[in-house]
Amino acid sequence: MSATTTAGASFLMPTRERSLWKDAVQRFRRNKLSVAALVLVLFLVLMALTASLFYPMGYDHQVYADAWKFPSAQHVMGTDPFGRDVLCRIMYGARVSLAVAIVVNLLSLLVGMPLGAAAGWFGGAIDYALMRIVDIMSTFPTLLFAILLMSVLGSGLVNVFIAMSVTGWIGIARLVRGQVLSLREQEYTVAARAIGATNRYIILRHMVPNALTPIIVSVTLGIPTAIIGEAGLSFLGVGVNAPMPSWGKMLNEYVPYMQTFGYLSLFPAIMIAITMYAFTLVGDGLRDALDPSLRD
Amino acid sequence: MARYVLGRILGILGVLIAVSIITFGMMHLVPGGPFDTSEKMQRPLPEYIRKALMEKYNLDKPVYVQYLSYMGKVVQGDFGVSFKYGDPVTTVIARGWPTTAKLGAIAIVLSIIVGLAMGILAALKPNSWLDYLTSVTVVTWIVTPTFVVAIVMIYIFSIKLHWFPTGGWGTVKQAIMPVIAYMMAPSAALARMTRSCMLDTLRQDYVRTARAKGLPERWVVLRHAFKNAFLPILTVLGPMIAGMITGSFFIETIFNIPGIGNQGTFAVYNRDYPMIMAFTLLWTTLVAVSYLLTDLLYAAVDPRIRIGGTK
Repeated sequence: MSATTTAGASFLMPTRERSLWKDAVQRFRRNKLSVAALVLVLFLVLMALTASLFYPMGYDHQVYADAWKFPSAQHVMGTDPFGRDVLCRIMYGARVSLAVAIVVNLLSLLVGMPLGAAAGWFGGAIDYALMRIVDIMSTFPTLLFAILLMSVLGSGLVNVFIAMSVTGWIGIARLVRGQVLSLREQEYTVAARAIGATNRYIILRHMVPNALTPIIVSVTLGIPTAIIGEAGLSFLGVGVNAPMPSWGKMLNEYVPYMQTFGYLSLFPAIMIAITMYAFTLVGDGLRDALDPSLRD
Repeated sequence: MARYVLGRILGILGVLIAVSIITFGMMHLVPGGPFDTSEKMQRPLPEYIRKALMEKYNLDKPVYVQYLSYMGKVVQGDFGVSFKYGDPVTTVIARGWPTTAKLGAIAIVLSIIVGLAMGILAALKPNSWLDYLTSVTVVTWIVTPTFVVAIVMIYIFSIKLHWFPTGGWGTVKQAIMPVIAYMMAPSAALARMTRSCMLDTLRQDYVRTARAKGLPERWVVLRHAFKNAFLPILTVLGPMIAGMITGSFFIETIFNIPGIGNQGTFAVYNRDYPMIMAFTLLWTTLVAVSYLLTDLLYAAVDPRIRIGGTK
């Protein structure tokens, strides 16, 4: 049993997959805006990774004598009211944003994919339950729900992961369910079934490869959603805890000094905007590259 | 038809009950209560008064009893008294909503005008510089978070240039920045939708026929292409309007506008249970009803859609 499946899976990979990916890479490279955005994303990742190299003292290192310094050669973005280097906090803040993006999307996938697939495949009670959850959550005021949940759990990075995944998995489940529902009616699936293919074979050979591209695109576009969600919660003061430098948290700390030290708020604000822009453009490019038929 | 509407209304009621149970349950799981006397909350209160207050607001009863008695009153239109303000919740909402609704209404009208205009112009000349500019603008407007836009605008136009006040509500000058910050994302979403729907209808045979008949281009675009493109746009417009007239937390907080858009969040901070519940129920009802109205309107406008038939 397992031998035939492996054989089925491996004979599938080289023939179709490779050409799909090659095509996709080629199409993606032609989209200059998305390539530029990808470079920007890589730069952000690099920034997050090298934060501790440039600032080995950590993100909460304070030099009180240096508080309220304007940008200079020594402190490129200046220092904050506590004498902490702003660029240092921006770089460590990239870690928080990326961590949220990765963890929330992974958790959403892990929960949403099996549930969505089961709902689409088996229908019945599980499908009914999933659709009712979708009904309820699509009308629930999202921000209020997230804030309530954060109040229940308490602030902190891990709880941000949880609070955002609680709503995040629903979108993935809905997408996978729709994919499964439409794919199981496709002629090639029906044909495979007619010649006596097993469920397992149909799922691995036909469903997964075809459902993969919309899921990849949805996850890529889920990254900016997760990042803005964390930034929003931290800006409201219910996200990550105090010394940890999230960009939203930095805004929360610097906005009260808008009148006198307005430029302080600009740095995290612009970083959030750039990050959102970069990830969204990469996602858009990926969607166009993987499935040109989705274009407009 | 009547059966379909009735079914949908029952569905909405079901969703409302579920949402109210979830909110009520979560609210009571939150550590700390409105009359919490612990050090951290800094609200010293003699024990006998605290007890009397807990009794008065039924907070000493089990959660399900509190829920049932609360919902019993809600059905009669009594949403309770705000713990924070001491006024009936309905009064608090009635006080702030006109401001929020006014801000929302202005932003909606402008978003529709700007979004449709951008979308139509971009679709008329696909792949031109205008189309390219529109798509860049659309992405920028959609991805930039409201609070980032608001903060950057305040920095540039209030603090550096002194053109507009940093916040408040009442004068035209005070309304300009919040309206712009508020309308960016919706107008971009509408522009994107309009562009793709217009591209679709402009390719249709009836548009070619209309052009072949020698109708003026403006007539073809507006009467033939746009009228048909508007149907799918309608579906996003309903929920969008419902969302916007309930206000934006970020806009109202950052620009210091006395509306109800930020009351829901403040209610969570203050553990103001009646306000949290009222706000959630109000929001949910508005969104659910807007979905229903949109579907009905869609069916009314497009004879190809039959409601109540096979689903």
